[in-house]
Amino acid sequence: MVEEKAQIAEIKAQIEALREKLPSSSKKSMETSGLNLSIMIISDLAGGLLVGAGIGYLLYALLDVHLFVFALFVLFGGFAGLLNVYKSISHLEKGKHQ
Amino acid sequence: MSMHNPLEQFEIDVYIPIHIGSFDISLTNASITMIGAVLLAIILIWGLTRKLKIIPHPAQSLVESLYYFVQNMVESTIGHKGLSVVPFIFSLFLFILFGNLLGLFPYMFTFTSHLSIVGAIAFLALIISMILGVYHKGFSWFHVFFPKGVPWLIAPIMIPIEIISFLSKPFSLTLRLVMNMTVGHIMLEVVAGFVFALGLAGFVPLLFTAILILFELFIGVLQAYIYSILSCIYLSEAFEGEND
Repeated sequence: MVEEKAQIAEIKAQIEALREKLPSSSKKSMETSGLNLSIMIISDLAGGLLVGAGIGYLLYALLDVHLFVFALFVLFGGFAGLLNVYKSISHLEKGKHQ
Repeated sequence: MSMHNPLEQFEIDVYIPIHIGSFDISLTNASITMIGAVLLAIILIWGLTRKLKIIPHPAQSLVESLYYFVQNMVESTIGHKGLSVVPFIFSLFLFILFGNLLGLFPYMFTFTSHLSIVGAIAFLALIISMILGVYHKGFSWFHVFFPKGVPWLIAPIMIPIEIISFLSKPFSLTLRLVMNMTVGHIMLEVVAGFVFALGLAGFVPLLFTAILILFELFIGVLQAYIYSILSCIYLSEAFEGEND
């Protein structure tokens, strides 16, 4: 019984050692490749800006608000885009540390 | 010699016009390829898992490993509670995967390069995320727009930014896949256009086209994976704080 447990512990240690030898998980290498990372950042920024500008334009066109509101929502969109980039990058970092 | 327009491949052609009242539900090259992708997925999964065995045969284990791959992806992103969305993510993954791969065949249409199609799926994921969030957490789910402990003073700035950030997720998800697919196919078309234009020296672009097709094959699989995992991340907001 004790011998079996020791064997299992040894196999577990071997598996862990092999896992550590792996260069990186497929997920990490896929997500952090140059092209993917740049497309991710661009799409996150553009997405936020598009939605912000869209909401601002809708408010301007439908509710006839001041043009300043449109500009404000474009600004909010830009910040939302940056927030999306921050969230995506921190998700990647979290994946790396796991 | 006139060059082929590389953007022509993304044009929608109506094959069978169908109009019901004011609705245009005509069969186009896009809808036919989508039906093809769905049928192919159904036939493959159904065909390979018809005679299930405890010790799986290679075809069965291929489907099982594909399913477990998606299940593990959902479990690692959302947690154990998220297993209820595995069928949705699995269908999404197969649909995008077959869409990307079918687009590589000559005369086939790459429907994943169209904003309307990919956007519709991304919005479906967003709506499911909202429904699941409200179902699991009730109205406290709305705290994703204004987390607890944040000073009320910054609410007028933070709430619009968080709402725009939440609503822009399907846009960025869509843009990412569409950009990848469009750029890849344009590149392929441009390089392939040189094969005949260069005469005898055309073997160089021909070789490059072959390499590009292999690269696009890889990108197709990769993007299907990334689209699915990002959908999982969006859906994970519905389950946040519930993971065991």
